[in-house]
Amino acid sequence: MENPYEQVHQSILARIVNNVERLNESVVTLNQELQNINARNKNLQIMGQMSENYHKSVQFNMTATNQKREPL
Amino acid sequence: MAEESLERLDQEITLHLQQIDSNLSYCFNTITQDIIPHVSQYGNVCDQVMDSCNWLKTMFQEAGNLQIEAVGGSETPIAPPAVTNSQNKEESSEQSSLQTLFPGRPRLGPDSSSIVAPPVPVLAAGNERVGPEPTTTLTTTGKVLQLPDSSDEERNPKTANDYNSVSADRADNLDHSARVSSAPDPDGSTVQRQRRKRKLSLLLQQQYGSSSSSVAPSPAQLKRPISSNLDSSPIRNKDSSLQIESTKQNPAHPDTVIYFPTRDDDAVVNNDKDMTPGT
Repeated sequence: MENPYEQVHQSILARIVNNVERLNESVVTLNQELQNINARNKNLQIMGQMSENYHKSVQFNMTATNQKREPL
Repeated sequence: MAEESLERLDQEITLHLQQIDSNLSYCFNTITQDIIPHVSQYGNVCDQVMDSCNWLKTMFQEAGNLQIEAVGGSETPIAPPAVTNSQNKEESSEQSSLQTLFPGRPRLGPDSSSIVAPPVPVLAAGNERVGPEPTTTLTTTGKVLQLPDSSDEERNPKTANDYNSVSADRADNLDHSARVSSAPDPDGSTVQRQRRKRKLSLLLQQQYGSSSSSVAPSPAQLKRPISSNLDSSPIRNKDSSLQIESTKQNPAHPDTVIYFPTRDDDAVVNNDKDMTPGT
């Protein structure tokens, strides 16, 4: 009596396992992609920090020397 | 009853299993078809942005006498520090690790190093002790950078007051470095130009009450003591010398970006403008 259900369950479980494997692979690729992007963006981050620091120093020095003027 | 309940349970189990299966497949499709392509697109856009902003990196690198090349590969150690400290750490680490790069362009270093006497001298002293002779690629980097400026300054009595911090023992090294630095420059006129500009800047500083050197470092020290080299205005003043060097060096160094000299020129012009009204 229970044989048919068992077979169906087993087939569905097999499909699920298959799907999980594929899903895992895709997630791994996604992670790799994101890691690459992060590594590349560190350059941007550092440049942003440098620009910010430069802006701060320029503002400070302009203010200190009374050279600061309103934007045109 | 038992059989009926069993059959129901089996049917429910199959239903749930099917749901799980469909959900998993849905996730897979979503990730493969939607997310990954968009992420790759984002990566391309980031690359484009990086390419567009590459001149900024070169500019700051040259201005701060830094080698940020490590960023591409071994950024992790440098990146984590706070915004203010990151540059300084980079500087120190680069000076120590990337010294080999400096000999190629010794001129760039001296300006900043001479300006910011306190931090650089320590590094330079350590480097000198390790490798006394400028000819050695690694140790010379710190020296070479500092030496040309300091040597010029020493020649000028005016600068002495600002650069008292520079130790006399360096003088020998400075001479060596000056020779080394002068050698790469095709034109001897560049050195003269640099001296003129430095003299002007020194005069400005004296009249200003050494505003460029004293004022700029103070803010930097207050807010970010270590990063003062990069941020402080004195570097900008020194940039005038850097301009000449960079412009002349450009033919020699294909690596340098074309934008940089122009930017420096602009910056220098601005600096000159800023300085002149005060005087």
